[in-house]
Amino acid sequence: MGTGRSGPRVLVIRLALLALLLAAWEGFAGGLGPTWRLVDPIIVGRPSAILADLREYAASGLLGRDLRTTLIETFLGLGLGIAGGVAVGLLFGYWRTMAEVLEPLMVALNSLPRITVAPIVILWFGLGMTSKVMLSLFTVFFVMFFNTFLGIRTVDGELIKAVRVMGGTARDVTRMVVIPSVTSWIFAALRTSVSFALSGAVVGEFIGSTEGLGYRMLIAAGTLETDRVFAIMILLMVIGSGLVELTRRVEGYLLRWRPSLTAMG
Amino acid sequence: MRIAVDRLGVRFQRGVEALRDVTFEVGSGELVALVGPSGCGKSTALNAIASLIPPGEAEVTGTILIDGTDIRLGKARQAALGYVFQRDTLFPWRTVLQNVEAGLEIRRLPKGERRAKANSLIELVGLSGFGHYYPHQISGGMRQRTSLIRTLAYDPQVILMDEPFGALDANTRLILQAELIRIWAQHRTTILFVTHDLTEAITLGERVIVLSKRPGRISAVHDVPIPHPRDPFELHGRREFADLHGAIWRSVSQDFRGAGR
Repeated sequence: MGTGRSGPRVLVIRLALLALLLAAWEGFAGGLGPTWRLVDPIIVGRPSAILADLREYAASGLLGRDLRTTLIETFLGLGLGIAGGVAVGLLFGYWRTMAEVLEPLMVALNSLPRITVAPIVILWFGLGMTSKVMLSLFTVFFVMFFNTFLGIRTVDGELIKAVRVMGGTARDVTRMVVIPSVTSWIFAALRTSVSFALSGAVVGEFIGSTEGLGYRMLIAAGTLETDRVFAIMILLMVIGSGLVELTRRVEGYLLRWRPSLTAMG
Repeated sequence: MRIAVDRLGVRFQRGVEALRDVTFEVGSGELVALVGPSGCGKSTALNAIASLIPPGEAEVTGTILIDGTDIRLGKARQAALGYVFQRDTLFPWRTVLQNVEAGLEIRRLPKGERRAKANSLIELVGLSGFGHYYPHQISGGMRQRTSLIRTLAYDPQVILMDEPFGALDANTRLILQAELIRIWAQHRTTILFVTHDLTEAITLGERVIVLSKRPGRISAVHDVPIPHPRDPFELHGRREFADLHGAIWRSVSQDFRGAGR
């Protein structure tokens, strides 16, 4: 948070630190001649080699394909997970009996480490994209579900009273109070969901697949192509933080009425 | 519009009796203050009049008529009733302007009319220029002003106010009291104003109804013989104010001392 608001001085220090770190990595991995070499580049890779590998990866056309696959899985999983989680969360919020009956089940499913469902999901949905979408969906679903449910439960009763006393109907209450307050909870969960969706897709690719960034990374690790592993890690980092930053901005705009997210004035 | 409360009793499910046998009237266009020690059931009385007490929560006995119609018949009261809460209940996701428009939106008023009306009210209480601020960006006094005009916006015939200035600092409180008097003198809406502050009750009310500690019963009703519009800033120094305050205080201090337990 707040990374975009730091002054130029901080930015300069950050860039200098990053350059230093990369130079040290390059040097110790032997990139600046044998004198500095401390570790085997097969184990730790080397920035220059990683960059070269990234170029090659892109040129071969594989990168485009893998990227496409992983992103489609991520976005489908994210979209479906959000839709499903919000829908079921609303259902639970409005239908108390169902919530009371099924809450332990949801809590149990949620406490299951997400990755552990991967093998069964692959078994059910095969090696194609579907299984990754499902896994991604599964991880996102619970975050959205619990936030939506909690959002409905914590709607401010005083605000409902205020609408009632102004002559508002149940529909007015929904429109003027429930939807805006639940929306804020949903948006709060969105940032987590975005990174969850990406990890869901990549982990799914680890377990069993034929393409995608996760698949390519696992293959590279198996054949000791350390540079490729790092190249993909860096790609994932960029994609992940890009998506999170995007959500943060959208959220900051939509929730500008919230004190913590807006600048005063 | 006239409020007639007849032998109102409220007993909560957990056995707490909040009000017993409370009977009073607020005449059309009258500004009446209901004062009592904390926990005496003042707010409960307002909630009962606004039918904001959920049926499962308490047993309500007696009758409450608004302009001769029993409030339990619902519907009719809604168009006519305004309620200003203790804590400002502004929608945090709406700007000042959008908050003031809320009641008009519920009444399906066209957008242009809504905006015009809200803006004129915003001007009335000196909030011009703050229409596009969100509640968290303005002061407590401004928020409570916004609450007040949000209620005024849809022209309720009766306004119930539950310690609306209780959370404000002394000076802001006086300013808002003066504003309320000014607006009331213009519109002559029926107002029932609940407060635990005797000074505030005498400042505002044409009559002051005093409730005893729990279970709340009416222990006294005093006319305030100071003509309206009054000036809260000047009033407190006046002789008749001090005399009345002293007289009422003597009659209730025993109750106020024992309250809050």
